[in-house]
Amino acid sequence: MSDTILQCRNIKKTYPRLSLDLDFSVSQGELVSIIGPSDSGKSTVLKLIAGFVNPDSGIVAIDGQVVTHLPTEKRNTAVVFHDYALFPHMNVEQNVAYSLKQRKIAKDDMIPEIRRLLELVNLSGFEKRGIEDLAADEKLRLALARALASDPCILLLDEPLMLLDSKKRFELRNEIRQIHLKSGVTTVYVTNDKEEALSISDRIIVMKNGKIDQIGTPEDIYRRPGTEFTATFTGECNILPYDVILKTLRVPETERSKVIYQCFGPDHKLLFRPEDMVVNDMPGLPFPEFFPHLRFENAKIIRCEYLGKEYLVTAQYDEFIIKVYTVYRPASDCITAGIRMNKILEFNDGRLIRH
Amino acid sequence: MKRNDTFIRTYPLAGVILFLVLALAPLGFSVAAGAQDAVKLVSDRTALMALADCLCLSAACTLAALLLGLPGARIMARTAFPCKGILRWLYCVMTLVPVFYIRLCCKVVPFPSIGKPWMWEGAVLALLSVPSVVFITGEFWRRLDPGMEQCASSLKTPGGRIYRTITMPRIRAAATASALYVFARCFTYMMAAKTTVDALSSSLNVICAIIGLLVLIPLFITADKAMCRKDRSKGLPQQKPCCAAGHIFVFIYVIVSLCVAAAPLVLILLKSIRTPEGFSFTAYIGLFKTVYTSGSRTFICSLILLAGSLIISLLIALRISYGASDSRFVLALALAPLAMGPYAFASGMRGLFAFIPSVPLIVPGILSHTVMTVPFMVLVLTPAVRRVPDTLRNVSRSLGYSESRSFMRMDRKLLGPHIAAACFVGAAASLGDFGASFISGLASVPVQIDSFISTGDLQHACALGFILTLICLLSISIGRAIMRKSHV
Repeated sequence: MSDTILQCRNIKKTYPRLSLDLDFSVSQGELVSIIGPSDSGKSTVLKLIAGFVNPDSGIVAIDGQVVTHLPTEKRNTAVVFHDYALFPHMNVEQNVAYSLKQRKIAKDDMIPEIRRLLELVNLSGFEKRGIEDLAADEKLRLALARALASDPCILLLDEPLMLLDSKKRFELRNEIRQIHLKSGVTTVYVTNDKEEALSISDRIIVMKNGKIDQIGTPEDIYRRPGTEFTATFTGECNILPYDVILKTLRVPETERSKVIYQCFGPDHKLLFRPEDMVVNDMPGLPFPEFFPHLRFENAKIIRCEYLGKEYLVTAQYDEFIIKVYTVYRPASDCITAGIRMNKILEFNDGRLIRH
Repeated sequence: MKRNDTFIRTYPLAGVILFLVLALAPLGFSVAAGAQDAVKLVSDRTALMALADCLCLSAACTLAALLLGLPGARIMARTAFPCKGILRWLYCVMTLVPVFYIRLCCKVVPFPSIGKPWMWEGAVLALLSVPSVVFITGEFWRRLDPGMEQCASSLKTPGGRIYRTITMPRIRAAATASALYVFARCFTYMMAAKTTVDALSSSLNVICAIIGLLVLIPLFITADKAMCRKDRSKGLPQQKPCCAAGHIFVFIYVIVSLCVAAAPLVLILLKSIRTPEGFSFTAYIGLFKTVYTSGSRTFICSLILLAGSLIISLLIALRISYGASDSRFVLALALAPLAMGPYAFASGMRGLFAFIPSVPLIVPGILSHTVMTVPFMVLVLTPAVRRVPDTLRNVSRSLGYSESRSFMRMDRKLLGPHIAAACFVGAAASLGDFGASFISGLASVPVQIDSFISTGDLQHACALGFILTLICLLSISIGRAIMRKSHV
């Protein structure tokens, strides 16, 4: 691809408890998130790109130039760490100017440039403030401004919202997206919060044990997860064995064997999201009829969690455990839920084989 | 504890190598010289008795200091009361107080005529060591989370059992560290005091140095491990204000321990002022004239030693601190001279330079002082270097600055107050050091005080001691004040 700005080809790096094996590329102007559980190697990928760590083998190329063995300062990347790493002996203006001085910007041009950058991150008027006088979100904005001041090819964000409360996280993730769109700088964003990644990314890389599990758009990752791991990591889901079909399939008797034969192998697993299920939580009410579907009649409620806008109900049907979302708290201790066949993903040996 | 930063691996190398050369070359020479006398030592009953005396006395002093110091450490750690900052500072000062004061104290303090003189010397040594235990253990203890004790208390565990089973295992490393530090200090002092005039001094000094080395390296590794665990805790725990009765107990302990430990110093001060004819300002001028016209150029000698050792120490200590922040072994190595004492280094250094007759005596003197000053500077600098996050240097590099420019623009500026403080603390240590200049044959201020003591001129000894104390206190105070301005 001509517009590829970052390439990581056959990167291998071995640690005592982790082996990294990577192969991916990022296009110009993209915001790519890297998500995964703790110790899956997300931050190490960032360090490899920035040059804090050298790979055992493989190639890192930025803007067409191989930088695998170049020191950090020659790679034209900028990093924002989770603790922001602001220089404590400098004020806001000096922190931003630190990057500009390296670019040898003339003194006369420096002040307008600092103002522009601070305005970009909504920090106008904070020029003379000390670092200790800034709130956590303001520190993040400053760290972003300082990073952008170095005019990087690639902006690397290492869990930047980790220290913020949930409200600020929500606000700042949208601002990061806005800043990315305005500045147009290619961004690699590491997080372990799936919502953050799904909401702001152009593409997502899901990592597991040092390897890439799936790369795709947020919709692909959530709706068509390539593996069972990606499906469970990116959201709540029900994973049930093949047997559930025999017990819950609702389809005219004439077509039953045909559906079972055509769709599912006996060793396969079925996966579907709780929000795709249709729920009837009022006993006595008829369940809406649609075909074909799986129906879990009078499943016994084990747990009901209030999530604010809805309830997450965990229920047991036969030997199967299912999770569903309901708007109202179930009136009885049983619930009936169904899922259309076209919403069900089929996995074999942890990999998606049919959607 | 290993840090993922190539700078930390490469920058300290030159300092560590230079320090190793400066420390190992004279030590090796001392060992070689001492080995010749080793056979005589085994057959010399007097020398062996001296060694045994020193070991027993040092152990007794250490035990006494530990018993007296641990309650103080608890008070410093767990109780909130006014002026505690000043007390902590006083304890810190007394931990660094020059060893030659012990001899002056023994001359000045009117001890009862019962028992042997060395017993009183040991008592002074033990009392002067109490603040070391309070300061080292207390500083560690106050950073421990009291939540475990509170939890055990809510389970209705008696206080004594909580102390034995919960608290003591956690402060054991710091208590051991302080005890071993006191032991090393007492042992090296006594060995030096008993053997500097003896024909077998080099053998005994080598034994002293090696025992010190063996004791101190595990000590600092253990203590540092514990301190590193402490570093990960978030902030300092809240301290409990004690009840009225508790306040009275605390104040009685603090006042008594301070008075007992500080009494010798106060006596020196009083003696320097309250002489039969009164030690007036004119008398001090007379003292300066006496010291200055004695032909030894005492003050100039001390100033040259101070300036020379400070410049070299700073160059070495700053680099070593980066290594020590990453490796406990480097830290233990840098602090080892504290245990080995200045006598072993100075005698080795002098012996080495005897082969080059054209070199003036001041050069081995400066180098010996440097070896003894580096540990104090490393002690000030290493915690500060550890507190500078790697991410700052990484960010700086990702913004286009090279490693060396990042160091100049980030580390040097962030550590500026600590570097200045280390210089002041190093100055106090260098000015107060007696052994290195004595063995090197240089007439520095402590040596001049010693010669006053030897000639029985206690008035001048006390007066000069008072001036030196003031300069050292001032130096340490300025160092502490500067450190507060630090960003790390």
